[in-house]
Amino acid sequence: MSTLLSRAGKRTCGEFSALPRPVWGQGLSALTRHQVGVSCVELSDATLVDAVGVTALSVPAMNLPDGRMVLARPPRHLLTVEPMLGPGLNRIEVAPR
Amino acid sequence: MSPVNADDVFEHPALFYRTEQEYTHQTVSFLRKGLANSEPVAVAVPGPNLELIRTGLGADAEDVLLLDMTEVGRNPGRIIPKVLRAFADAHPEGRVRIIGEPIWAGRSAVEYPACAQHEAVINAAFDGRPVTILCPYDEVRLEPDVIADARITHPTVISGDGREEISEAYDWEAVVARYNRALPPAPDAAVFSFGDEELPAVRKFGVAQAARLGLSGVRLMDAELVVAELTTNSVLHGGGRGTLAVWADHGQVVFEVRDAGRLIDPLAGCRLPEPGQPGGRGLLLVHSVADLVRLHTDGLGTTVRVYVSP
Repeated sequence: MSTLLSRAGKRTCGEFSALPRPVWGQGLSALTRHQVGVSCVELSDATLVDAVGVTALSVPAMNLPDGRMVLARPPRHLLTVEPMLGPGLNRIEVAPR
Repeated sequence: MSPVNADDVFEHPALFYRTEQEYTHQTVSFLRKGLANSEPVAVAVPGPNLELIRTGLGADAEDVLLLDMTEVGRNPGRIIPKVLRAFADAHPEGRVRIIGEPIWAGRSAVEYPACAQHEAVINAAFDGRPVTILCPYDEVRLEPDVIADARITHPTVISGDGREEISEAYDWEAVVARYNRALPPAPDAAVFSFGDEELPAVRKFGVAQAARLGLSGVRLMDAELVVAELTTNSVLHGGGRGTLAVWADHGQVVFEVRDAGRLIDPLAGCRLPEPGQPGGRGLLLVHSVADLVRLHTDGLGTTVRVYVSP
């Protein structure tokens, strides 16, 4: 997980799934710890976002003190998995490829 | 112990009908009672019956959510989270009234056990909630065993002339147990054994087999999610490893994962987790994309068999 140069956020690659979670979970937490405004998670190089992955993406968004999170260019899976989060997560915006 | 509030009682009658006239009269009367009480009202029944209700309601149909159950409830395992709970949760104030017809004459013998278990676990899913769900059964076209099961999964039954009586046979957990049937291995399946190190490999294997058997595009991605969720569940909750089998059956691709875990929650995959809750979405996700999910669990392990249409 690396820091984006042009905006507040992180670029990710690989899988957002259960077992690699310790690797990217800390990066996501750091992303939103002091963030105000829009945070971006660039997912164009992610190969999979499963149910655990999308839940983990939602937690930092819920903890944002103010603002929202944009999930940019995610793999197609995310559009299927994202409704599993349920209603009320209006701090997450998905920007498709 | 606090007294039970009658307003919070879950009502789950079966309606046994024999003619279109009985069907229309009883369902439309049920819906009009809800509309008269300003209750949110929804209908999820097969297309032809949906038209009977739409016609019977006339202009009032505009006030009712009408869904074709052969589409939204093709997989009976997603009816509770995606249809019934979705509607009830969207209307948390007061009683909600729903007609749900998950079992029709065209259901296959492979689908039926999951349908019967769905009807059974509705009783647990809505226990203590102010919801009324009427489930019509075609007494003429459905097998007698199906009608007998409906008496076990519904606390009350209504006849075509409107008489309602308590079902002495009511025992929903017995139906969950009866249809927890062993799923024998398919002889021609492609098989891959996996542990945590092989999760990416087993997913690639599943996707390759699915493509070979005819899935493509979005359905191939759905299949990848199915394999990812089932195999991850085996690693995290099913003893650390399992076996994936993939084969074709009547135009569908079947994905089956066996592991050493035991699934004891009859509502697994039917509950909507709280936002941010770390787990509990894997089987829910599988139900949402699959055309059918069959489960068998006992002291030796759990088998989850998922059917995906092209």
